[in-house]
Amino acid sequence: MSADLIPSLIHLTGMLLLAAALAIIASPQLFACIRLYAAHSFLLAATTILVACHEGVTHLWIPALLTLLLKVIVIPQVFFRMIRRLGIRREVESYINIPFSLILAVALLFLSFYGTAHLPGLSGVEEREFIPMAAATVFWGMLMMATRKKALTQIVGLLLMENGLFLMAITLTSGMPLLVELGIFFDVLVGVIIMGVFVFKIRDAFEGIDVDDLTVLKG
Amino acid sequence: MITSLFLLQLALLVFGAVAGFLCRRSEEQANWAVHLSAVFAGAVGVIYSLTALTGGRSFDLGFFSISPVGPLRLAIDPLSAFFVLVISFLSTVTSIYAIGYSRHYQGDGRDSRIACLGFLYNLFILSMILVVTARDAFYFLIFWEVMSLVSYFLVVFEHTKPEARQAGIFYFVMTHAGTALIAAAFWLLFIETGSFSFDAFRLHANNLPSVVKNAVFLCALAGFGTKAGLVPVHVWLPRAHPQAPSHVSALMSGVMIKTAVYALIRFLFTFLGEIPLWWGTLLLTVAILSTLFGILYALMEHDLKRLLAFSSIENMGIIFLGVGMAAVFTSLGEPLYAGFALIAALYHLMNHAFFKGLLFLGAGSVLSQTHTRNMEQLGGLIRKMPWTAGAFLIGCLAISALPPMNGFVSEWMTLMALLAGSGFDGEGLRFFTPVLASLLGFAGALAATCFVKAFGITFLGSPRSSHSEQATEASVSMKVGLGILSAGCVALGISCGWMIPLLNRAANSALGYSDENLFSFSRQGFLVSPAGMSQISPLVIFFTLAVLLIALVVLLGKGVYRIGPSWACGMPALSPRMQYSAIGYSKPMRRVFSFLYRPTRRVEVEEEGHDLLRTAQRFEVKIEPFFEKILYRPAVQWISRLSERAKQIQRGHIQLYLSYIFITLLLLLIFVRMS
Repeated sequence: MSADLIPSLIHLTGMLLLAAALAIIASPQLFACIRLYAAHSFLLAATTILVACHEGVTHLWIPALLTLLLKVIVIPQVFFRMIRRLGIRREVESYINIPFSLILAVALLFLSFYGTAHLPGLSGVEEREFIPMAAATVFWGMLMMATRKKALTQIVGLLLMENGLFLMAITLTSGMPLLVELGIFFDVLVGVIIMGVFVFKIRDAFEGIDVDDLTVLKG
Repeated sequence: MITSLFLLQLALLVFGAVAGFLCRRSEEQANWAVHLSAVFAGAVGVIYSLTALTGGRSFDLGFFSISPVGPLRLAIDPLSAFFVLVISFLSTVTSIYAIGYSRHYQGDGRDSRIACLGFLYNLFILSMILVVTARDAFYFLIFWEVMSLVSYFLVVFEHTKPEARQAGIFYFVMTHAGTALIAAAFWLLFIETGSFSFDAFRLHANNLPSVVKNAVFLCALAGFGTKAGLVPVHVWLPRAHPQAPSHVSALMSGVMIKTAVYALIRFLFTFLGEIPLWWGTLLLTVAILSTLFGILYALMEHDLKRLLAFSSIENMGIIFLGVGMAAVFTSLGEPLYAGFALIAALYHLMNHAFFKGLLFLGAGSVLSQTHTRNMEQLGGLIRKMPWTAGAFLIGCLAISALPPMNGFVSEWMTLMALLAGSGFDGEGLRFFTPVLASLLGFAGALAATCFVKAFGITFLGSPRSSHSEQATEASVSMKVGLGILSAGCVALGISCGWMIPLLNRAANSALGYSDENLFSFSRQGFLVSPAGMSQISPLVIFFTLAVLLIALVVLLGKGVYRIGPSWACGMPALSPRMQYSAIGYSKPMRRVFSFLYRPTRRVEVEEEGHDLLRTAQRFEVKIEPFFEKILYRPAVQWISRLSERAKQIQRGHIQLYLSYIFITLLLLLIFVRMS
């Protein structure tokens, strides 16, 4: 095993992460969207493991395994069950069409490279590369939340943002203290469950999960 | 010793606040627990504040020394001790009274209204004590805010009534606007001195740039003026005070609005160094406007508690006349006169706490027995409630500044302070102070008119409705409360020769003079104005009046009067509806001051075919609320137009709100990168 195998693998997973995130934005099907999210999370776990090997930080294995367990298996299953029980349409509905979303996404990618280009205190190629990528993932998550009509796709956007933050934490700091990581995982799980309940409540109250219906709540 | 008594008082008030929730079984027990601990707390407060005031003792406590804004310092100097004395004394009496008065809030034991009332009531007293003892702007603001919030909840305590909720909103908005200005004043001082502590403000007082000084003064005057109910920011007071339970109204009018006087005295004479003459002139202008408008609107009021609330505005005006003259004399460099004027203000402040407390408690007794505050529904209560009527009469005499009651003494002192101003040059003092003095005399006459109406219509004549016909005397604890305050009103009047030395200390420390024996305005029971211009002894007046009264009774004896129907005018039978009414009584005033009141009247007549065969007649007269019309309505319209416009961005789409956040974030990122 040559010395720069692991760094080059990290580069590869980084590219794949970006591609997966773009695919989430581009996918017109809800199921595909969630599967792509699972893939994105899987790549995230792989990156974490590679970083753990590269930096020799053993406790990163635990968040990596938790990512596999929670984001690759549990959360997608929760989503599938939710879709089945709600009986909703499988298409993603958006205020702006998918090509335009992609153009915006690319613009945001440029913006994140531009915005983080001269941050002080960064060393190493990985950091210089991963910071803008993670920032772009966060922006794309926000883009999804701001443009999608249905509550479920907005939750996917939120989870994408969380993945972006996780990526930033892993590559920038070689992992936060374990307790913080565990807390974040717990937050994500509870968040998904609460939002699931919330979605059911919206359905019950407005006979649909179109968040546009919430406009009647304003004063 | 006074330190431990002070802590004991705080502990008793905290205990009183939670005691109601501990006695879940019986509302009766809860009632006794919350109010008795407030009684004891008040008594403890009276003891240590008197000790501090007479013995010149003080204390200075620090807590939470590791907090980022500095330690919480509670200290007592003679000025604080004086305010603690007034607050503690009045709260003792109102708590005794409340034992009887709160009974009608006792429910079936499940809704724990007594516990809530007790919680708010004790917290209210606690916050006032802390406001006048805090020595740090940060904690002062916190206690001030607690006081405002708790009093808001007390105003809306009877929240099932729409007018209570409306008054609450009014109070809430205005008091917070006031607090914002107060915070601005403290913030300006903080910027200049770099510290929140009052000591730092005092040390830097003479280094302040004059622009900052003027800004601080104006902010403080507007902010504290709102709480004090000065015209034109008084409009919340006549709405909010009557809605609270009566013993709370007594505390609000009696002492809560006085905390604003305390704070303003600190600002004027401690934090701001040299006082320009125009500050005093501004204070006097605001004060005389409050005096006149307060009493003029009180005259037109037929709601007993609202009338008292308007009269509180008048009395705050009188207090501020004293404070204003003290400021004028300080800037003229006349410590003797300044002390006299400030003593007049403090004395009137204490007297007002006594007689306004008494009158509100009396009105509360009437309200609790008749369930109405409308004077036109009352009448003849002197026979049903002789004790309440007697106490109310003493309060009316005191507030009308009749000798030998306490109101007379302090108004005399204020008058003397104003007249003394005519001996000095500058900003038209020589001309305006006598004018102010005559206006004060005029306000006194109007006050007498007003309270003749309040007492006469409520207690004399015959009952105007079944409410007042079925009234009975109030319970024992309420009578005790009224009795103590009535005795206090007389005692403060005739013992003024002995009260003045106490006030000397408070005024001395407020003005920052170190000479203990600078002021000697009392000589063997006589009150002497500075430079010996005139002197007066309420004690002598009291004994003269007493001798005259006894002589009249002895000389004329019982044979000279006989009892018959009053105002019968030869009619065989009088119905209560033929009596003089409050509207009728105030008619001459309404005509004289019609340029201010702009009354509109409406007469409805029901007749049966012929002009003379009337079956029913209704008469209604309304006066125009001057300040509401010219100041508040335009302001409210402007604000609602503005908020209509701001509403444009509130579409209710969750995606839109997310986009706002998103775009803000991106713009910030670009901004950081560019800079």
